[in-house]
Amino acid sequence: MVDRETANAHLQELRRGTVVIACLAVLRAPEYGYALLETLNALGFQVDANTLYPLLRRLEQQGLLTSQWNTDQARPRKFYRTSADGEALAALLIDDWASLQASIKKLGKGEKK
Amino acid sequence: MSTLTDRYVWAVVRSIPEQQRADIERELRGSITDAVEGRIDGGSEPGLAESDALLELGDPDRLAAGYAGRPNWLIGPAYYFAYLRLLKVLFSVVLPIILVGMVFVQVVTGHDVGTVIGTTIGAGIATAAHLGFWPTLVFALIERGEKSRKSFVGWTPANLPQLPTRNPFGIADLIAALVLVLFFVATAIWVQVYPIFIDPEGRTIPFLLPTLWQFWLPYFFVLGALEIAFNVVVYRVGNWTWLLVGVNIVLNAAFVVPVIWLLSTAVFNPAFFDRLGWSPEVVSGPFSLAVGAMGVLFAIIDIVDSAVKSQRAARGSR
Repeated sequence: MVDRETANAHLQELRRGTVVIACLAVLRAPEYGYALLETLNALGFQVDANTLYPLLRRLEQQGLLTSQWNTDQARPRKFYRTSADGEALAALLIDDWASLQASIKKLGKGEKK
Repeated sequence: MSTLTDRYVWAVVRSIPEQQRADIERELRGSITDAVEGRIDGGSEPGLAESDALLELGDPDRLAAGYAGRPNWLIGPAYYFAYLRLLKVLFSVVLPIILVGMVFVQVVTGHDVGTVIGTTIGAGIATAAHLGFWPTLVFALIERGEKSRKSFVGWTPANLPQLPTRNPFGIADLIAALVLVLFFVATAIWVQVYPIFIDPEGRTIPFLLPTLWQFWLPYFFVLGALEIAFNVVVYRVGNWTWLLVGVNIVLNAAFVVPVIWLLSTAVFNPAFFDRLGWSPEVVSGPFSLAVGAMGVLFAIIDIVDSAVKSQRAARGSR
């Protein structure tokens, strides 16, 4: 049996890029940090607040997200939204994920290439 | 009121560049408040909800590093091996040379053995600390400076070591040999011209007999030049072969034999040791013996080292 620590390390490694896909996909509709965190966790993407908040800033700097302060509500909130570039990257990542999944399925069936 | 949230937010933003600070502070404060309210809605006690929310966000320094895009390591994988190689050279080549130099200068200027050992240990520790600290600082700054981190490490397949050898004669060996020879030559000149002691007419009293300038000092300088040329050849070949070991033996003999002959006749300047307060018996006896033994020891180590490496190379190529 693989010990839990080793397994967790590998799982974390495997999931690292999926958070970006999830952010870019979810933020097609504008959302603020904490609500996005809740949404992602509800969808089954395990991500910590201290990873997500800096990640949003980085994606914004890379032009993949745009942001806007909304001061209509009681508390001002910074809403993030996927940009055109972000949309393109999301499509690319999702395609890649799909082809990886197909490859992994082949592995599972024990097919030879 | 100064709440835990205020203190947490301050702990995060204080190390973030000024122009982003206000925006990050505003957003982070909102996110924390959201999280606290979420916990209270879930049935948490208000006081506990705040500290739990902050606990979940974790170490503020780590979060700040995430926002600022700073690495949370001192020297990362991009520079680690270059850093390691530099430290190895500093501690295995530069430090010993400095220590030998320190001992030599102190012995020459007539300090007693206890003082020499004491100050050398003290200064050696300080030197080692400096040799360790400054490269680390520079590499840590480089790690945090440039965003475009390439080509600095500069590794190409051409840098690969020669195959058959386990201990090839690399650039480090060449530099070590060069430094050693230059150090000896510089020391030989220095002890002859630097006014450690001055006679009543104001002239420098040299450490070695001034008559050595007529033949032996130039001879040793030429030998030093040959030694450098020889080391360049070994470097170009990339390894020790039996022929090179043979030449190495000849060169070592060309150094040690005259040294012993000179020690057994006359090499040290009596006037110098008179000022040092050493009797002629000590100079021609134990002191000469010690110098000679050291010379022979160096030569033997050097020859054995080259022979062992050439044998390894021969075995490795089969």
